[in-house]
Amino acid sequence: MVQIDNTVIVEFMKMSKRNWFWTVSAASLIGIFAVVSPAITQSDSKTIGLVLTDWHMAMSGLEDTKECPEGFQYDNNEQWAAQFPTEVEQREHISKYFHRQNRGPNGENVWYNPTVIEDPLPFREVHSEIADGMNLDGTDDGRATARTCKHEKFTGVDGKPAVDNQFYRVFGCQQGMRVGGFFDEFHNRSIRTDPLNRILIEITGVDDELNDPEVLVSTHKGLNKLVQDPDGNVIPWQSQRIDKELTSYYASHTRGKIVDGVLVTEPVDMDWHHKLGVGPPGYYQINGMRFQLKLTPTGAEGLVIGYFDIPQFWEVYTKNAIGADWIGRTSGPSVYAALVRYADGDKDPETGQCNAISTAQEVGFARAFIVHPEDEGKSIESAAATSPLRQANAGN
Amino acid sequence: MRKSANSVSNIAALVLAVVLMSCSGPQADNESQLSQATQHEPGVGGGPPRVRLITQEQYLNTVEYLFGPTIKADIKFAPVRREGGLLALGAASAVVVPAVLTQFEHIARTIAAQVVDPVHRDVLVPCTPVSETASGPACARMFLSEVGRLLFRRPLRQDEIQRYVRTAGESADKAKDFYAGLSYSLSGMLISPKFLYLTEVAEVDPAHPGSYRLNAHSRALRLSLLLWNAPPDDQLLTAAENSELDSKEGLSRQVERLLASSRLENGIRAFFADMLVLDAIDNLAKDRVIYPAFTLKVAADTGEQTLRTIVDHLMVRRGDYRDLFTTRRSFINGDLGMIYRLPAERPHEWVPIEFDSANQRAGLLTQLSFLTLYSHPGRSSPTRRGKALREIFLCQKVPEPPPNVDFSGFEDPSGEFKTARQRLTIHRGNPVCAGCHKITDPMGLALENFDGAGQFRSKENGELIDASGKLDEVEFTTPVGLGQALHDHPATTSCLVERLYAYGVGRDMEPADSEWLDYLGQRFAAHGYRVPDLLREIAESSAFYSVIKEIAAPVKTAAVSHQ
Repeated sequence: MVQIDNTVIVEFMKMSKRNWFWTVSAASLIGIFAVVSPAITQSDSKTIGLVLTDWHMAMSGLEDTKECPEGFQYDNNEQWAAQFPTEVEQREHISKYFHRQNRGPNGENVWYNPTVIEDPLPFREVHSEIADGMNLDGTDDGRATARTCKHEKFTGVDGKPAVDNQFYRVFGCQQGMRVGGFFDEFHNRSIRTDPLNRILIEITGVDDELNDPEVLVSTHKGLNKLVQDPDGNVIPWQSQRIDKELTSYYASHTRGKIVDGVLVTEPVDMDWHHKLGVGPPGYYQINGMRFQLKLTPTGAEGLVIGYFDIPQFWEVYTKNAIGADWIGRTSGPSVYAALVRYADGDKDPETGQCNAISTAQEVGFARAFIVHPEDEGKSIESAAATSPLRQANAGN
Repeated sequence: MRKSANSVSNIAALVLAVVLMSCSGPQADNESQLSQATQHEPGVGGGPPRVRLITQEQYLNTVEYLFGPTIKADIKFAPVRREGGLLALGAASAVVVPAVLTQFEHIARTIAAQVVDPVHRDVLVPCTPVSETASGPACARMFLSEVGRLLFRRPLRQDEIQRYVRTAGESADKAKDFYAGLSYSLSGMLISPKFLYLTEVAEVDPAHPGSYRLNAHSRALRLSLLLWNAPPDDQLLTAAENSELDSKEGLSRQVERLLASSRLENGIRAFFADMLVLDAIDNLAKDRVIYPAFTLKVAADTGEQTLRTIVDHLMVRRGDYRDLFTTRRSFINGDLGMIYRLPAERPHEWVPIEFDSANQRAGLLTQLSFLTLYSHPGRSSPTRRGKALREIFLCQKVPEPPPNVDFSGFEDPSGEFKTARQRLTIHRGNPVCAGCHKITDPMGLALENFDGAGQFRSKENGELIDASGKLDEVEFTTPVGLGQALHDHPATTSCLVERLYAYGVGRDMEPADSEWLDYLGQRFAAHGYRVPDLLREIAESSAFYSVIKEIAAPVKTAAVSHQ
């Protein structure tokens, strides 16, 4: 069982600053905590530390031909060629606007201005009834609610009904984003090599790794490089210091439970920071994020589930526009239009338009030791205190 | 058991020694022992004066002492043969072949060039030449005579000085560069046999007519090598030149000065690195598929962890040597943390740790350096571990396996035998193998909770590991119990005494040394098995500097035409 203190409660309040719904939920939880656990000591429970090693779009497990019967999405080059079908038109466009992405009416870059045109070639989306994820809106049929927009549900890979994962519907036929695609490989390489992708999960208050009705789950930013074996696999049990400077940007705190070795957390808003290759750093704003992780002896694997805030997602996505274009193999106007079309969360009560899209990302973690800033150097001080040299000096 | 004290180093002798050792009664308390211990040194003949090739660490220590840490010497000496369990003994029979001389010359030129470069010359050259574009004999003499004294560990004779000054001058005039000439002569000194070979010279012992001892400079050399793993510094050379080392008080003053210096750590590290065969880590490799966490960095850090543990325990905490086999204190960094499954507060630094009582790690036997060196690349080896334990820590010799060992039972691929204990039981069914395995396996099996990479495991192939074992007549059930048994074994301390003394005098022990070693062992016990006190006993003894009449022959090496 978890025992928490006021600091955690304050952090808990911070975590839901963006979303009124989650704020209300969190406030309710705080109330429960305040009654149940007034104070606060650490029991004999243990802590599980994890460091992020993998991140992939969660898919259906079907073959491409079944979920993408029309083929993969057209990329910007193909859309450009369709938009300027003759050699003369193409030459004129490039001489005037220099780049194939600048194909707006006035030469606007269509990644930064995705609504200025409609792509001439049709958008190819997933045609599958199966997707990984979770029922996020609580409905059986995806009907509109006060907070969500009408959408079509999936059946889970494990057979669960009413799964929400509209992100997969939009991106599932984008060749580069699929597992093993160029974008996917590039991203995962960055996770292992770039310290800005060093995301840590700390599960505290664990009495039983197989079944524990209540644990605390926090995220931090790590500081240390990941040691990999010659095959590129991250070696477990590395020590990761928390990055004092940047961890507040990565921080989240929530509760969870472990059922049959699977950690499931309660929803919390989180800015999931990442950096892709040489691109600029950014973050996905994941509203109501939950972990669903199977704990293993050396790590954890499972899903990060929630709603991507679309404006923030697009901000990150377009920062890597050239990469998304070339290695992601898609086209900005088509994707953006699909994101808006399939948005199913964070409904604007006035316009009725949803601004977030349900998602599930497949993640992998390695077990790690998380070193808090206040613990750094403790053993050195402790050892020095018992050193005969120190004692001799004190005597003098 | 002392190997050289009995040429029949076989199992029978081993068993006999074990029986004899097990007859020792309980130790009296330290104070009582100190008063009861023999107060007078037994007479010792000693061995012949030694001529030893300088080691890589001694070379580097010399360069750092003379010229400071900013002079870089990127060197890797060829390994010398290990004799009597020590590289230090093998150094006495090492020769410089032309290929090695070429390496020495390259290093010498690199170092000499740095010493006189514009960055260092103002600090390291004690004078300014009249002209920087021509020879300057006065300044060259000042520099070369002082540097030569420290490199050759004795004052240079006038003819030697004149030769080096003349060489520097001729080179300077040719190059029209005073410092180039100086560099040329300095590099000549650095490849001279007088520097590369640590040569001891005997003289008649005035206190014991008819006996011999090392002369003052050689005494200073032996003392400095023992305590600092470096040639004598200026003060020690001066003491030798002023006959200070001839008196007990004068020698004691210098011993205390060396013991109090931070450079003592170099000496402690060098001895234990030699005794514990840590040089073998350079060739340590594990199967990366089976042990992915055992990286090259981890391998390199295993020796450093052990040396840090030893220095902290013996020097900083002035601990009992025997407690090195039971201490729960050590040091780790982030890389080792992956193997030990412990957090490192500062992953890129060494931080102290203390294993808790629930942990099966305690003492040197459960550190990675021992566990991984004496394993196979892809699995543990109770036999190798047991053999190493006897040979390294108890100075006992375990015979090598015969060339025609039948491993078919041990390597049975059927999977019927899940643990090493089960496989070895089958192997010991062969009477040819049984004799030696009875000596090694009972201790090695107690370390089976650690796999070939030193990682803790409670099961092997799904079967619970039985870590019980026996060291001679003492039984135990855990790795910690094995450490305690070694802690209590009488040969543990006598072995250290033998190794340390052999290391200091540069020769293997002989039957004639038995009385002296027994005396040292008593003094060691009287001092509570504290190694700095044992070092003091050795360094202040007459025996340490006694030699027999055989005078060192002139060194014959590849010609050094440079001079």
